[in-house]
Amino acid sequence: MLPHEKALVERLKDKPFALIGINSDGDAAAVRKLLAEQGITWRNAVDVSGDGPWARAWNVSGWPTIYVLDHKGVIRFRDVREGELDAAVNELLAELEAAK
Amino acid sequence: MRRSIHVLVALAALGTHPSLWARPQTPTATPTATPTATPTAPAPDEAALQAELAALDEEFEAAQRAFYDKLGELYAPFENTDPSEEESAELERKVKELYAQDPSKSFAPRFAALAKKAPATLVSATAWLRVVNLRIDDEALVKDAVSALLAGHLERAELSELASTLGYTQLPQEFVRSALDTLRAKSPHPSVRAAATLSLAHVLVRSDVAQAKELYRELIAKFAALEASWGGSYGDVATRALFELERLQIGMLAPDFEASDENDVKFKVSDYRGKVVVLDFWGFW
Repeated sequence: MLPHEKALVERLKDKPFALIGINSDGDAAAVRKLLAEQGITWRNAVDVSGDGPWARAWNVSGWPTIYVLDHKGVIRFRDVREGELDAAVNELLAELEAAK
Repeated sequence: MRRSIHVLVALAALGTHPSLWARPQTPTATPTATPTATPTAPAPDEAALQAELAALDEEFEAAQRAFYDKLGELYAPFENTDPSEEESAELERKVKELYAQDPSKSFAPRFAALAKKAPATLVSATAWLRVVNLRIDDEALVKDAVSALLAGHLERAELSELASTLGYTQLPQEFVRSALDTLRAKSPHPSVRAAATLSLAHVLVRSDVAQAKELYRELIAKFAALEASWGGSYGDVATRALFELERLQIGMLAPDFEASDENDVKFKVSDYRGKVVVLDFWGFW
């Protein structure tokens, strides 16, 4: 997933697009270290653990869990990966473009 | 590589269920050890059966430990490096070969034979529960075990284990549904009825969302404060499952959530209106 996500973020850096990680590996310092090590440039919510507040609230029980939201904040895809994720994001960006 | 993917890939390769990775209960954890379960001294033949169960448990555990050690050895070279395509195929072949000797397959019939020796005893119930928990592909054998437990041991609190397991078996849905309905209607123990209700909701969530929601609501109404065996209350787990069904489905406006990022800056999901957003719950842990 990671190399693919990096490519996605790089490809869409000038588009109205955001990838947000919700990370379960510890506190903010731990997450900063991890992001630096992995060369991750996008924002990450510090959810501390697999039982963190966001994961709990959204009943996440498998990792990774992925939600794709459109520009209105509506959930449009769940648990798409790699090629499917690209296609989902492209579709929603095209929709946003058409809505302008 | 992320841990979760690693495990899932391994499981997919094995074509198996995570339950098979779990160690069985140790013999000392069985209810046979509690004095209240047997207020009078067991008849000599029951004591002998208990000893037989303990010995079988021990033998099975040793066999399973050896099995997992071998499995671990197969995966060890790829702890830090992904296997090449060729290595991957070879690994898959060896893992399949090893799984043909999975001790749960050879031991399940032995637990079943022991269970049949003295049908009404706790040893029998415990041995049948072992058969179900091994969750081998032998549908007929597991069905026998479930039927025997429902027919002869419905009053036992130990059936909460059966109720939980039935939420995750490969048995036909009709059979599982009927077994869970029996437990929900006829068990004298709230712990069994609650576990059966949660399992039934899990089983139905893909085919009948409306009924699954009803079952989660029933858990909240009747068993909110009851602690589940894996920790956490039934009320809590049902509330979260309902939230997912009612607020987090495709086509729904994503619930807002405020979080703090790696630089301790707070943000909300709604800050991103106007952008296409991917939310990725991830971690290496």
